[in-house]
Amino acid sequence: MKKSDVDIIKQWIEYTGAESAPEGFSKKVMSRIELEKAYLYANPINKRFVLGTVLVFTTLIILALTLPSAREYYWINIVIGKLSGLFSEIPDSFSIPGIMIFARYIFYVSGGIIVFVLMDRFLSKFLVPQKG
Amino acid sequence: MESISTDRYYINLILSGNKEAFSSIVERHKDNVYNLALKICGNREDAEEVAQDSFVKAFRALSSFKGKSSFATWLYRIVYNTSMTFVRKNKLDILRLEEFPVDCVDFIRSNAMEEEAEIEYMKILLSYAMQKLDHEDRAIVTMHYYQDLSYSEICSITGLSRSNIKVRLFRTRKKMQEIIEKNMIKELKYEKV
Repeated sequence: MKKSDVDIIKQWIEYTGAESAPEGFSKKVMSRIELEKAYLYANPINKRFVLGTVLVFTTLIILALTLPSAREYYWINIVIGKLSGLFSEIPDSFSIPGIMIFARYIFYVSGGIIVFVLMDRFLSKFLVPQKG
Repeated sequence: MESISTDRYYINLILSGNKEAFSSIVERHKDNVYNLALKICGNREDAEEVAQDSFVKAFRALSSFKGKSSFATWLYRIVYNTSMTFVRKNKLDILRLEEFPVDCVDFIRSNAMEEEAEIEYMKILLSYAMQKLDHEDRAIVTMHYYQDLSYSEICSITGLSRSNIKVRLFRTRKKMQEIIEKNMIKELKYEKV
């Protein structure tokens, strides 16, 4: 074997060997691991979550831009119309001033609350650490 | 193959809530992790700190390990990145000594080439040659020689191309060989090893 063919570094490394980790290394690492709780069981924000969020917002924006203004609140008006029918049957003695405006606000507010609750459940599924 | 499936077994245990199973992972990989950090950092204190940090980072990111590469390759990538960040942040420089420490030569001569003294001397000389390299080259040498990783694994860990790694290894080997030959005492020959 020619001297140039000999990989002296490889030979030396094989001959001298590698160092072992210091005494008590594993114990030190595990004591640090003991302090770690949240990281392991938290699902990282994944592509599905990002894609879902983008889809929801894109859909809402597209709907807002493309729905004809004549149809604005079309289905909401149907519901409110039905509610008005109910309220019109209530005797005058039971009527409250501005009840229709109040009913309309209840509709929007409860809708908003439902959207926020759903969003909260959706986000917590991805972000809150799961036990055990 | 057995090693990969064993790692997977412990990872599944950890992800199902058995945190203690991580100690098996540490036991299996601690020497390689420590050695890689040691060769890049160049001293034992920093290497231990970096190796510990790497294991903690690996633990935190364990749920994101998809098994596209082996667990060892994934872990070494964390060690490599943590070590490189550490040496850059702390501005750990490559060794500037022009001459090999004379003490070592005296030591080996006074011990009349006993085998233990000889190995110790070779270790010091190797370490000296390694410390003359830049941190990235040290990492490549360690992964290639000490950990016997393939080129594709080293590419995956360092993010460097295959040809770049081959060229760097060739140059590094030459440089280390020159340093060793220059500083080797006459009594110690290649034939000895």
